[in-house]
Amino acid sequence: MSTERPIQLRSTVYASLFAALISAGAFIAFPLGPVPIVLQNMFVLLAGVLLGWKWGAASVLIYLLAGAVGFPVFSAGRGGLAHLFGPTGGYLMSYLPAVVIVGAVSGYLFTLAAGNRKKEIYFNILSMILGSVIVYAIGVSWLKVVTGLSWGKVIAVGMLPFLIGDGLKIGAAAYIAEIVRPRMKA
Amino acid sequence: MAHITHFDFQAGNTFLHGMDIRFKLAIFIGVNLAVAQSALVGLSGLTVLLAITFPSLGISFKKLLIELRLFILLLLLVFLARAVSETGESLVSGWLRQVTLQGIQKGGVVCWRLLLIVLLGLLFIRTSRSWEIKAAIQWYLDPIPKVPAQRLSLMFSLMFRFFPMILELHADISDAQQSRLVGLRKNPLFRLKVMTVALLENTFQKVDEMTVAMESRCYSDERTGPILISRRSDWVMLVTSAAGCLVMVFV
Repeated sequence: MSTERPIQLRSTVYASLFAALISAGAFIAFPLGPVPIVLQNMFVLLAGVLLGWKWGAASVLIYLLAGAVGFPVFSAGRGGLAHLFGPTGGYLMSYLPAVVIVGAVSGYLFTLAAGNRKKEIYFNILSMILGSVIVYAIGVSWLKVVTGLSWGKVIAVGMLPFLIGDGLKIGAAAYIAEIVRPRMKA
Repeated sequence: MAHITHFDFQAGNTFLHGMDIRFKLAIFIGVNLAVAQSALVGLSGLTVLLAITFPSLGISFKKLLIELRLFILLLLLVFLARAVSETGESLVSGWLRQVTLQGIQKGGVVCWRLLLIVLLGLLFIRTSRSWEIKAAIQWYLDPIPKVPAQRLSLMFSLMFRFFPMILELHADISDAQQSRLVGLRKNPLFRLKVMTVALLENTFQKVDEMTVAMESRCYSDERTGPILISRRSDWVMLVTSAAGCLVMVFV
């Protein structure tokens, strides 16, 4: 039996798992002060770091496809094409370029870290910040185009309230990636 | 102890269980699109239909409410945000004067739609085996050139298999951590880390076991798929549902 097949099968299963995690992230709320945060975008960033750009993109594609056909996998249990192209659709569509960039950058930086755990965590944070910038750049721009609000209002509504939660999620995800990565390589 | 969530397949001999999965998926997509466009009459009709269907599938409303409690909390937040952000006739005076009648109406309809979309998804997952979903996705993707239909459909079916497992594990881990007073820790980063690490560790363990089982059976893309056969009742259901969707959108 070729060794390529098990590796591909494992990657396929892991990509499906991350698609499920991103979907379930819409239902897993984490209480942080009065407003709970959902873990969906954290799993998108983790998919990039842990699976790499190719399989990370596959997992996000499967997730978007499930949402597009109507399964309630988008944030707040939404689903359907109407939500994919609605005001917040930019955030959803940005997951794809974000996961590709996070996967490619973290993969490159991981080789530079050469096993230094501290460096790996910093590089994870760096690549995930880059991914979040892409999410907000596309998401906020789309929100502006659809709603016709001014830049100031769009940023106030679609970005600023989520930055603290995102910072926490990136901090946690960078650490989690270091714990989970060896298990995936085993 | 492990338990079956409502977001999991449950064997049965209802009409929905016996339907051709290709028709069921097409109807599901159509009804979802209709829900996004329909007004009160359409939403009421679908709600009554689901309320009649759910008990026959063994779905307990009480258990469902418990399982969806966090989602319902999110819906409440969406409702409140809509109620205060919509301009219109103010309902109360004082600091709550931002709450408008129009906001409450719009917020109510949005939350109703979201809830119905979730319940429809539950209905589909509850009555469809993962191999059936895989077969349907593959059937729809096969005609598209250069698309690895077999692999994509496998990923799709695995995703639906993992989805309830993750929710179930999350509920178990939450209970375990609550009993260890993790919720009292003030550092949110710590709470987030311990929850997610435990969730991922447990999920990966289960997924690894499944991968080993698939590898040991030499699982590959070249597999003989199931034969899907449509019956007259499937066509009748498709036409009826299409008519129902049109009524939902235009009435």
